[in-house]
Amino acid sequence: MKLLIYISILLLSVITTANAQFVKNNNLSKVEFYVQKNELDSAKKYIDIASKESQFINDAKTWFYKSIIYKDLYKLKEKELLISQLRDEVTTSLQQLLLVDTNKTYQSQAESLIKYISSTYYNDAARALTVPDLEVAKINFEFYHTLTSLSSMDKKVVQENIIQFKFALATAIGTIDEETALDSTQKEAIKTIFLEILAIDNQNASAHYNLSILYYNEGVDLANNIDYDSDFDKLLEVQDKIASLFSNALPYMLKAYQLDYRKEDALEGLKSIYRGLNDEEKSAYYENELKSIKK
Amino acid sequence: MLFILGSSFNQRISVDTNAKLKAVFIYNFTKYIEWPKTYQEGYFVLGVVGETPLFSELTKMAQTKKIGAQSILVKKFSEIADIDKCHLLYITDDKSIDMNAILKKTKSTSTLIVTEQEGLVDKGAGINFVIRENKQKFEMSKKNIEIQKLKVSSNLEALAVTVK
Repeated sequence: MKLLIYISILLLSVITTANAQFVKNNNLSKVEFYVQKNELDSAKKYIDIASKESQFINDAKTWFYKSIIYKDLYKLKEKELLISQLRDEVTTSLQQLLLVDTNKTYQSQAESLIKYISSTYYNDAARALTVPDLEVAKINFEFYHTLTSLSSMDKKVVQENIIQFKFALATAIGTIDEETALDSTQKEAIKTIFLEILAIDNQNASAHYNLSILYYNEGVDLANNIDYDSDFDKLLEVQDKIASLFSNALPYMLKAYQLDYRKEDALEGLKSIYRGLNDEEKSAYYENELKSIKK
Repeated sequence: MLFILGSSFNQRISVDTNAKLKAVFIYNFTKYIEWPKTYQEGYFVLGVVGETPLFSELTKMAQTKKIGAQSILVKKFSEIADIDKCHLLYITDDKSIDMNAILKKTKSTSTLIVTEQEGLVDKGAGINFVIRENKQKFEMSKKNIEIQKLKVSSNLEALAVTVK
């Protein structure tokens, strides 16, 4: 990728030098001059001006330069930061480049840049999953998502990465505070993540299993926490909610079992869900299945 | 790129939600039934015949709750011959076969008989848990309750799916 970018810069520089005597001393020329000298701060100063000038704003070369200048500055100054404004500026510039580069002059260079920058976002999203504020992880992941959607990267690989990140995010939300139970906002956030995974891959057994467990556990928690003093109205209301949660859990656990995922756990889950739904016959069926595979 | 690991959520184990709900139902029943004066002092005895997770739920409940001014005592009876004075006697599905013998044993007492098998209000139970639309409901026999010299509130009748 580097080689490709340097060849492009060299070519641009040769053309620029050859035409130097004819070129006006404009800001884009200054950018090229400072890029050639590897004076990135000066190059940045002029590309920031040039990219706002009407004569250059729709010029693909402007955004190509801006992308590589900011990319190099990012590598030099902010590579260790989880949030980097320099990197975000690369993304904005790349988006603009793809928009104005109708002749696809810089397509291959843009692809290389997207591949590199998106991988840094993904890695930083993963790194940020270990910090308390998960928003940083989510922001970086969104940038990764945005960039990869602009590229011709292998869609299957990107999807796998997205799913992998979403699983890790769900786990991170679930373990923010291991001492206390998840609140309803956290539960809903995790459910949404699993539903998003299933929207990408509806045969994802782990997402089916985990989603079922979330619904089931919520029902169990409701039962565990019901006050003995609850009157009949409250009791029947809670019972309805529990039945509804178990009914929600059931199809996902059945699917996980059908997909042969964690067979013993899935059977244990089905046994418990059916018991919770007062279907002793089916509960007993899955209990016997469980016993038979444990033999 | 980094490889991210995601783990699975764990299922809540060893929890019988139905037993907990039944315990709350039973606690509520006691608010709508009036026992004779002689039963209103000492422990309020909840008896259980047969093996059921409800026993441990009732035991848990007994640790924190009272019925009126009476502390709760939960007893498990393995043999019908062992059954002694109870305010409420819960008979599991498995032990319903012994219904007649249990009724004989409790004939002269003020014991509310609670069961969990379809049709048992026709065979002497005061209250019988039934499943309707995957949920616990109950049917009751006013006659059977009154035979045991207990008074039942009409509000409880209104909550039952069937009253006989």
